[in-house]
Amino acid sequence: MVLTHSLPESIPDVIRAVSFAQEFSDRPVYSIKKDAVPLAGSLFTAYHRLHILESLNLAKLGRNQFEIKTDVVSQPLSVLKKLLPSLIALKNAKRFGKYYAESDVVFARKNIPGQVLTTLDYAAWDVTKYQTPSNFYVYVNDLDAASRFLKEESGFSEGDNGRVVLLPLVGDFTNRIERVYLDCVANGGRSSLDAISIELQYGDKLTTRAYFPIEYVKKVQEESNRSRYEIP
Amino acid sequence: MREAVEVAKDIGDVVLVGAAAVMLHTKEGRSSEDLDFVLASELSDYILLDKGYIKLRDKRDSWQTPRHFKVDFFRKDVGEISIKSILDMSTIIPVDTKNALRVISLECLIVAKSRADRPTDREDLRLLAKKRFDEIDWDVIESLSKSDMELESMKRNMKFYHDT
Repeated sequence: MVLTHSLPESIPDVIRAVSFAQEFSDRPVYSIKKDAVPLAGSLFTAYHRLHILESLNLAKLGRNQFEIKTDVVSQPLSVLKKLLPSLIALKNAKRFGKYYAESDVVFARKNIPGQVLTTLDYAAWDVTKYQTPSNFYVYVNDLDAASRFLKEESGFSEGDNGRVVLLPLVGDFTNRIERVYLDCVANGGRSSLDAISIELQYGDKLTTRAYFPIEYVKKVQEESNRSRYEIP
Repeated sequence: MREAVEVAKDIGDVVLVGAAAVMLHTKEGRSSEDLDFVLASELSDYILLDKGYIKLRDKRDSWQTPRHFKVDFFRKDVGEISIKSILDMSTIIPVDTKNALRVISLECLIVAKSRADRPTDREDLRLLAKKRFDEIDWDVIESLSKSDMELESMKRNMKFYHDT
Protein backbone atom coordinates (compact mmCIF):
# COMPACT_ATOMS: atom_id res chain seq x y z
CA MET A 1 0.00 0.00 0.00
CA VAL A 2 2.88 2.29 0.83
CA LEU A 3 4.23 1.71 -2.64
CA THR A 4 1.20 3.11 -4.44
CA HIS A 5 1.00 6.50 -2.72
CA SER A 6 2.81 8.33 -5.52
CA LEU A 7 1.17 6.39 -8.33
CA PRO A 8 -1.52 8.91 -9.39
CA GLU A 9 1.10 11.61 -9.95
CA SER A 10 3.30 9.29 -11.99
CA ILE A 11 0.53 7.98 -14.26
CA PRO A 12 1.28 10.39 -17.18
CA ASP A 13 4.93 9.31 -17.09
CA VAL A 14 3.87 5.67 -17.01
CA ILE A 15 1.56 6.19 -19.99
CA ARG A 16 4.36 7.85 -21.95
CA ALA A 17 6.74 5.02 -21.08
CA VAL A 18 4.22 2.36 -22.08
CA SER A 19 3.46 4.14 -25.36
CA PHE A 20 7.20 4.23 -25.98
CA ALA A 21 7.44 0.48 -25.26
CA GLN A 22 4.56 -0.25 -27.62
CA GLU A 23 6.50 1.37 -30.49
CA PHE A 24 9.08 -1.41 -30.65
CA SER A 25 8.70 -4.24 -33.10
CA ASP A 26 8.44 -7.57 -31.31
CA ARG A 27 11.98 -8.81 -30.64
CA PRO A 28 13.58 -10.63 -27.70
CA VAL A 29 16.32 -8.09 -26.92
CA TYR A 30 16.91 -4.49 -28.05
CA SER A 31 19.91 -2.18 -28.17
CA ILE A 32 19.59 1.00 -26.11
CA LYS A 33 21.55 3.11 -28.59
CA LYS A 34 20.24 1.61 -31.84
CA ASP A 35 16.62 0.98 -30.86
CA ALA A 36 15.63 3.10 -27.85
CA VAL A 37 17.43 6.39 -28.50
CA PRO A 38 16.00 6.98 -32.01
CA LEU A 39 12.49 6.43 -30.65
CA ALA A 40 12.94 8.44 -27.46
CA GLY A 41 14.85 11.33 -29.06
CA SER A 42 17.76 11.29 -26.61
CA LEU A 43 19.75 8.93 -24.44
CA PHE A 44 18.44 10.67 -21.32
CA THR A 45 14.79 10.22 -22.31
CA ALA A 46 15.42 6.64 -23.40
CA TYR A 47 16.87 5.75 -19.99
CA HIS A 48 14.16 7.71 -18.18
CA ARG A 49 11.42 5.73 -19.94
CA LEU A 50 13.23 2.43 -19.61
CA HIS A 51 13.72 3.00 -15.88
CA ILE A 52 10.00 3.66 -15.47
CA LEU A 53 9.26 0.43 -17.34
CA GLU A 54 11.82 -1.40 -15.23
CA SER A 55 10.25 -0.07 -12.03
CA LEU A 56 7.01 -1.71 -13.14
CA ASN A 57 8.62 -5.00 -14.08
CA LEU A 58 7.83 -4.27 -17.75
CA ALA A 59 11.45 -4.15 -18.87
CA LYS A 60 14.81 -5.63 -17.92
CA LEU A 61 17.91 -3.54 -18.45
CA GLY A 62 21.33 -4.97 -19.12
CA ARG A 63 24.56 -3.54 -20.42
CA ASN A 64 23.56 -1.48 -23.49
CA GLN A 65 20.61 -3.79 -24.01
CA PHE A 66 17.10 -4.26 -22.74
CA GLU A 67 14.12 -6.54 -22.94
CA ILE A 68 10.47 -5.49 -22.93
CA LYS A 69 7.59 -7.64 -21.76
CA THR A 70 5.84 -7.20 -25.06
CA ASP A 71 2.90 -9.40 -24.14
CA VAL A 72 2.15 -7.15 -21.13
CA VAL A 73 2.82 -3.71 -22.62
CA SER A 74 0.61 -4.59 -25.58
CA GLN A 75 -2.44 -4.70 -23.29
CA PRO A 76 -4.92 -1.85 -23.78
CA LEU A 77 -4.42 1.12 -21.47
CA SER A 78 -7.62 0.35 -19.56
CA VAL A 79 -6.22 -3.09 -18.70
CA LEU A 80 -2.72 -1.78 -17.97
CA LYS A 81 -4.14 0.59 -15.34
CA LYS A 82 -5.74 -2.41 -13.62
CA LEU A 83 -2.42 -4.24 -13.79
CA LEU A 84 -0.42 -1.56 -11.96
CA PRO A 85 -0.85 -2.98 -8.43
CA SER A 86 0.19 -6.43 -9.67
CA LEU A 87 3.17 -4.99 -11.55
CA ILE A 88 4.34 -3.04 -8.50
CA ALA A 89 3.92 -6.05 -6.21
CA LEU A 90 5.88 -8.29 -8.59
CA LYS A 91 8.65 -5.74 -8.90
CA ASN A 92 8.96 -5.57 -5.10
CA ALA A 93 8.79 -9.33 -4.59
CA LYS A 94 11.37 -11.10 -2.45
CA ARG A 95 12.52 -14.56 -3.46
CA PHE A 96 13.76 -17.24 -1.04
CA GLY A 97 15.16 -20.74 -1.20
CA LYS A 98 16.57 -23.37 1.12
CA TYR A 99 16.78 -26.69 -0.72
CA TYR A 100 15.65 -25.11 -4.01
CA ALA A 101 13.13 -27.88 -4.49
CA GLU A 102 9.45 -28.66 -4.00
CA SER A 103 10.07 -29.16 -0.27
CA ASP A 104 10.66 -25.38 0.06
CA VAL A 105 7.17 -24.76 -1.29
CA VAL A 106 5.58 -27.36 0.98
CA PHE A 107 7.21 -25.74 4.01
CA ALA A 108 6.31 -22.21 2.92
CA ARG A 109 2.65 -22.99 2.25
CA LYS A 110 2.27 -24.44 5.72
CA ASN A 111 4.35 -22.07 7.79
CA ILE A 112 4.78 -18.54 6.43
CA PRO A 113 2.93 -16.18 8.79
CA GLY A 114 0.39 -13.61 7.61
CA GLN A 115 -0.47 -15.17 4.25
CA VAL A 116 -3.23 -13.23 2.49
CA LEU A 117 -3.42 -14.75 -0.97
CA THR A 118 -1.52 -17.34 -2.96
CA THR A 119 -1.19 -16.20 -6.55
CA LEU A 120 0.31 -17.08 -9.96
CA ASP A 121 1.62 -20.66 -10.43
CA TYR A 122 0.06 -22.46 -7.47
CA ALA A 123 -3.14 -20.39 -7.39
CA ALA A 124 -3.67 -20.97 -11.10
CA TRP A 125 -2.94 -24.68 -10.71
CA ASP A 126 -5.37 -24.93 -7.79
CA VAL A 127 -8.25 -23.52 -9.84
CA THR A 128 -7.48 -24.66 -13.42
CA LYS A 129 -5.16 -27.70 -13.23
CA TYR A 130 -3.80 -26.46 -16.57
CA GLN A 131 -0.06 -25.88 -16.06
CA THR A 132 2.17 -27.52 -13.50
CA PRO A 133 3.33 -24.96 -10.89
CA SER A 134 6.93 -24.08 -10.15
CA ASN A 135 7.20 -21.02 -7.90
CA PHE A 136 5.10 -20.34 -4.81
CA TYR A 137 3.99 -16.69 -4.90
CA VAL A 138 2.17 -15.43 -1.84
CA TYR A 139 0.93 -12.02 -0.68
CA VAL A 140 1.73 -11.46 2.98
CA ASN A 141 0.50 -8.93 5.53
CA ASP A 142 3.98 -7.99 6.64
CA LEU A 143 6.75 -8.52 4.11
CA ASP A 144 9.55 -7.87 6.64
CA ALA A 145 8.12 -10.24 9.23
CA ALA A 146 7.60 -13.02 6.70
CA SER A 147 11.13 -12.46 5.32
CA ARG A 148 12.59 -12.63 8.83
CA PHE A 149 10.68 -15.81 9.51
CA LEU A 150 12.14 -17.48 6.42
CA LYS A 151 15.70 -16.22 6.89
CA GLU A 152 16.21 -16.20 10.63
CA GLU A 153 13.91 -18.94 11.83
CA SER A 154 13.78 -21.33 8.88
CA GLY A 155 17.22 -21.31 7.24
CA PHE A 156 16.12 -19.85 3.89
CA SER A 157 18.33 -17.47 1.89
CA GLU A 158 17.17 -14.53 -0.18
CA GLY A 159 18.30 -14.51 -3.81
CA ASP A 160 17.32 -14.87 -7.44
CA ASN A 161 16.79 -18.62 -7.62
CA GLY A 162 14.46 -19.54 -4.79
CA ARG A 163 11.01 -20.94 -5.46
CA VAL A 164 9.25 -19.12 -2.61
CA VAL A 165 8.26 -15.56 -3.53
CA LEU A 166 6.82 -13.09 -1.04
CA LEU A 167 4.75 -10.22 -2.41
CA PRO A 168 3.82 -6.99 -0.64
CA LEU A 169 0.12 -6.13 -0.33
CA VAL A 170 -0.52 -3.62 -3.11
CA GLY A 171 -3.99 -2.86 -4.42
CA ASP A 172 -7.31 -4.60 -4.04
CA PHE A 173 -7.87 -8.22 -3.00
CA THR A 174 -11.67 -8.26 -2.76
CA ASN A 175 -12.20 -10.33 -5.88
CA ARG A 176 -9.56 -13.00 -5.34
CA ILE A 177 -9.93 -14.82 -8.64
CA GLU A 178 -9.69 -11.52 -10.51
CA ARG A 179 -6.55 -10.62 -8.58
CA VAL A 180 -4.92 -13.92 -9.51
CA TYR A 181 -6.01 -13.35 -13.13
CA LEU A 182 -4.52 -9.83 -13.20
CA ASP A 183 -1.31 -11.08 -11.59
CA CYS A 184 -1.02 -13.73 -14.31
CA VAL A 185 -1.54 -11.13 -17.05
CA ALA A 186 1.00 -8.82 -15.39
CA ASN A 187 3.59 -11.58 -15.09
CA GLY A 188 3.30 -12.45 -18.81
CA GLY A 189 5.05 -15.40 -20.45
CA ARG A 190 3.67 -18.76 -19.33
CA SER A 191 1.46 -17.01 -16.77
CA SER A 192 -0.53 -15.61 -19.73
CA LEU A 193 -1.63 -19.17 -20.44
CA ASP A 194 -2.85 -19.44 -16.83
CA ALA A 195 -4.76 -16.19 -17.27
CA ILE A 196 -6.48 -17.55 -20.38
CA SER A 197 -7.35 -20.76 -18.58
CA ILE A 198 -8.81 -18.77 -15.67
CA GLU A 199 -10.81 -16.59 -18.06
CA LEU A 200 -12.17 -19.65 -19.87
CA GLN A 201 -13.28 -21.27 -16.63
CA TYR A 202 -14.17 -18.31 -14.42
CA GLY A 203 -15.01 -15.60 -16.94
CA ASP A 204 -18.26 -14.80 -15.13
CA LYS A 205 -16.27 -13.75 -12.05
CA LEU A 206 -13.99 -11.33 -13.90
CA THR A 207 -14.69 -7.65 -14.45
CA THR A 208 -11.54 -7.06 -16.53
CA ARG A 209 -10.71 -8.85 -19.77
CA ALA A 210 -7.16 -8.76 -21.05
CA TYR A 211 -6.01 -9.15 -24.64
CA PHE A 212 -4.32 -12.42 -25.64
CA PRO A 213 -2.99 -13.66 -28.98
CA ILE A 214 -5.52 -15.95 -30.62
CA GLU A 215 -2.79 -18.59 -30.97
CA TYR A 216 -2.52 -18.81 -27.16
CA VAL A 217 -6.27 -18.89 -26.63
CA LYS A 218 -6.62 -21.76 -29.10
CA LYS A 219 -3.75 -23.64 -27.45
CA VAL A 220 -5.31 -23.41 -24.00
CA GLN A 221 -8.77 -24.28 -25.33
CA GLU A 222 -7.46 -27.35 -27.13
CA GLU A 223 -5.43 -28.58 -24.20
CA SER A 224 -8.22 -27.94 -21.72
CA ASN A 225 -10.59 -30.09 -23.79
CA ARG A 226 -8.74 -33.14 -22.51
CA SER A 227 -11.15 -33.45 -19.61
CA ARG A 228 -14.01 -33.96 -22.10
CA TYR A 229 -12.60 -37.34 -23.00
CA GLU A 230 -11.85 -38.45 -19.49
CA ILE A 231 -13.57 -41.55 -18.25
CA PRO A 232 -15.53 -40.72 -15.09
CA MET B 1 6.45 -36.42 -16.94
CA ARG B 2 5.00 -39.80 -16.05
CA GLU B 3 2.83 -39.62 -19.15
CA ALA B 4 5.88 -38.86 -21.32
CA VAL B 5 7.44 -42.07 -20.02
CA GLU B 6 4.23 -43.97 -20.83
CA VAL B 7 4.17 -42.59 -24.40
CA ALA B 8 7.79 -43.65 -24.85
CA LYS B 9 6.86 -47.13 -23.62
CA ASP B 10 3.89 -47.28 -26.00
CA ILE B 11 5.72 -46.13 -29.08
CA GLY B 12 9.37 -46.86 -28.47
CA ASP B 13 11.56 -44.61 -30.51
CA VAL B 14 10.54 -41.05 -29.62
CA VAL B 15 12.37 -37.88 -28.62
CA LEU B 16 10.73 -35.47 -26.21
CA VAL B 17 10.72 -31.82 -27.35
CA GLY B 18 8.92 -28.63 -26.21
CA ALA B 19 8.28 -27.28 -22.71
CA ALA B 20 8.54 -30.70 -21.06
CA ALA B 21 12.05 -31.00 -22.53
CA VAL B 22 12.94 -27.63 -20.99
CA MET B 23 11.78 -28.98 -17.63
CA LEU B 24 14.02 -32.04 -17.96
CA HIS B 25 17.03 -29.96 -19.01
CA THR B 26 16.63 -27.46 -16.17
CA LYS B 27 14.80 -29.48 -13.46
CA GLU B 28 12.51 -26.46 -13.26
CA GLY B 29 9.94 -24.69 -15.35
CA ARG B 30 6.30 -25.17 -16.14
CA SER B 31 4.40 -27.20 -18.66
CA SER B 32 0.83 -27.96 -19.58
CA GLU B 33 -0.21 -31.57 -20.02
CA ASP B 34 0.34 -31.25 -23.75
CA LEU B 35 3.40 -33.27 -24.80
CA ASP B 36 5.47 -32.88 -27.96
CA PHE B 37 7.47 -35.74 -29.46
CA VAL B 38 9.60 -36.34 -32.50
CA LEU B 39 9.01 -39.76 -34.00
CA ALA B 40 12.32 -41.48 -34.56
CA SER B 41 10.90 -44.04 -36.97
CA GLU B 42 8.04 -44.30 -39.43
CA LEU B 43 4.83 -44.88 -37.57
CA SER B 44 1.52 -45.15 -39.34
CA ASP B 45 -1.69 -43.73 -37.97
CA TYR B 46 -3.00 -47.30 -37.98
CA ILE B 47 -0.38 -48.40 -35.44
CA LEU B 48 -1.18 -45.44 -33.19
CA LEU B 49 -4.90 -46.20 -33.42
CA ASP B 50 -4.14 -49.81 -32.62
CA LYS B 51 -2.33 -48.71 -29.47
CA GLY B 52 -5.44 -46.87 -28.31
CA TYR B 53 -4.46 -43.39 -29.48
CA ILE B 54 -7.21 -41.17 -30.89
CA LYS B 55 -6.50 -38.64 -33.63
CA LEU B 56 -7.72 -35.23 -32.52
CA ARG B 57 -7.40 -33.20 -35.69
CA ASP B 58 -6.70 -33.78 -39.34
CA LYS B 59 -4.26 -30.95 -40.04
CA ARG B 60 -1.65 -31.47 -37.36
CA ASP B 61 -0.40 -34.69 -35.87
CA SER B 62 -2.33 -34.23 -32.62
CA TRP B 63 -3.46 -37.27 -30.70
CA GLN B 64 -5.09 -38.21 -27.45
CA THR B 65 -3.20 -40.91 -25.57
CA PRO B 66 -5.01 -43.89 -24.02
CA ARG B 67 -4.64 -42.08 -20.70
CA HIS B 68 -6.38 -38.97 -22.09
CA PHE B 69 -3.40 -36.67 -22.55
CA LYS B 70 -2.87 -34.62 -25.71
CA VAL B 71 0.30 -35.35 -27.61
CA ASP B 72 1.69 -33.76 -30.80
CA PHE B 73 4.02 -35.78 -33.03
CA PHE B 74 6.59 -34.16 -35.30
CA ARG B 75 7.69 -36.13 -38.33
CA LYS B 76 9.49 -33.60 -40.56
CA ASP B 77 11.23 -30.92 -38.51
CA VAL B 78 11.07 -28.92 -35.30
CA GLY B 79 11.82 -25.23 -35.70
CA GLU B 80 13.31 -25.95 -39.13
CA ILE B 81 15.78 -28.40 -37.62
CA SER B 82 15.56 -31.70 -39.45
CA ILE B 83 14.28 -34.72 -37.57
CA LYS B 84 17.55 -36.46 -38.40
CA SER B 85 19.59 -33.76 -36.64
CA ILE B 86 17.29 -33.86 -33.64
CA LEU B 87 17.59 -37.64 -33.40
CA ASP B 88 21.35 -37.66 -33.92
CA MET B 89 21.95 -35.05 -31.23
CA SER B 90 19.31 -36.22 -28.76
CA THR B 91 20.35 -37.05 -25.22
CA ILE B 92 19.08 -39.38 -22.51
CA ILE B 93 17.89 -37.71 -19.31
CA PRO B 94 16.68 -39.57 -16.21
CA VAL B 95 13.12 -38.76 -15.19
CA ASP B 96 13.26 -40.59 -11.86
CA THR B 97 15.20 -43.46 -10.35
CA LYS B 98 13.63 -46.01 -12.71
CA ASN B 99 12.96 -44.20 -15.96
CA ALA B 100 14.81 -42.09 -18.50
CA LEU B 101 13.70 -40.34 -21.67
CA ARG B 102 15.34 -39.50 -24.96
CA VAL B 103 15.20 -35.70 -25.10
CA ILE B 104 16.06 -33.03 -27.69
CA SER B 105 19.58 -31.68 -27.10
CA LEU B 106 20.14 -28.41 -25.29
CA GLU B 107 21.44 -26.79 -28.48
CA CYS B 108 18.57 -27.95 -30.71
CA LEU B 109 16.13 -26.79 -28.05
CA ILE B 110 17.71 -23.33 -27.94
CA VAL B 111 17.58 -22.99 -31.74
CA ALA B 112 13.99 -24.26 -31.97
CA LYS B 113 12.79 -22.01 -29.15
CA SER B 114 14.67 -19.00 -30.59
CA ARG B 115 12.95 -19.51 -33.94
CA ALA B 116 9.50 -19.90 -32.37
CA ASP B 117 10.17 -16.68 -30.37
CA ARG B 118 6.85 -16.34 -28.52
CA PRO B 119 6.83 -14.85 -25.00
CA THR B 120 6.55 -18.39 -23.58
CA ASP B 121 9.59 -19.46 -25.61
CA ARG B 122 11.56 -16.46 -24.34
CA GLU B 123 10.70 -17.47 -20.79
CA ASP B 124 11.95 -20.99 -21.54
CA LEU B 125 15.14 -19.60 -23.10
CA ARG B 126 15.75 -17.42 -20.05
CA LEU B 127 15.46 -20.49 -17.83
CA LEU B 128 17.82 -22.49 -20.07
CA ALA B 129 20.31 -19.60 -20.01
CA LYS B 130 20.12 -19.28 -16.22
CA LYS B 131 20.61 -23.00 -15.63
CA ARG B 132 22.72 -24.28 -18.51
CA PHE B 133 24.56 -21.34 -20.11
CA ASP B 134 28.06 -22.67 -19.43
CA GLU B 135 27.23 -26.02 -21.02
CA ILE B 136 25.98 -24.67 -24.36
CA ASP B 137 28.09 -25.89 -27.28
CA TRP B 138 28.12 -22.86 -29.58
CA ASP B 139 29.80 -24.82 -32.36
CA VAL B 140 26.74 -27.04 -32.52
CA ILE B 141 24.45 -24.01 -32.56
CA GLU B 142 26.56 -22.53 -35.34
CA SER B 143 26.10 -25.72 -37.35
CA LEU B 144 22.33 -25.41 -36.95
CA SER B 145 22.16 -21.69 -37.71
CA LYS B 146 20.91 -20.40 -41.04
CA SER B 147 23.20 -17.35 -41.00
CA ASP B 148 25.85 -15.53 -39.00
CA MET B 149 23.21 -12.98 -38.08
CA GLU B 150 20.98 -15.64 -36.57
CA LEU B 151 23.90 -17.13 -34.64
CA GLU B 152 24.94 -13.73 -33.27
CA SER B 153 21.38 -12.95 -32.31
CA MET B 154 21.04 -16.23 -30.39
CA LYS B 155 24.38 -15.68 -28.64
CA ARG B 156 23.46 -12.11 -27.69
CA ASN B 157 20.02 -13.05 -26.42
CA MET B 158 21.19 -16.03 -24.37
CA LYS B 159 23.96 -13.93 -22.80
CA PHE B 160 21.42 -11.24 -21.94
CA TYR B 161 19.06 -13.80 -20.37
CA HIS B 162 21.96 -15.24 -18.40
CA ASP B 163 23.14 -11.87 -17.13
CA THR B 164 19.85 -10.18 -16.23
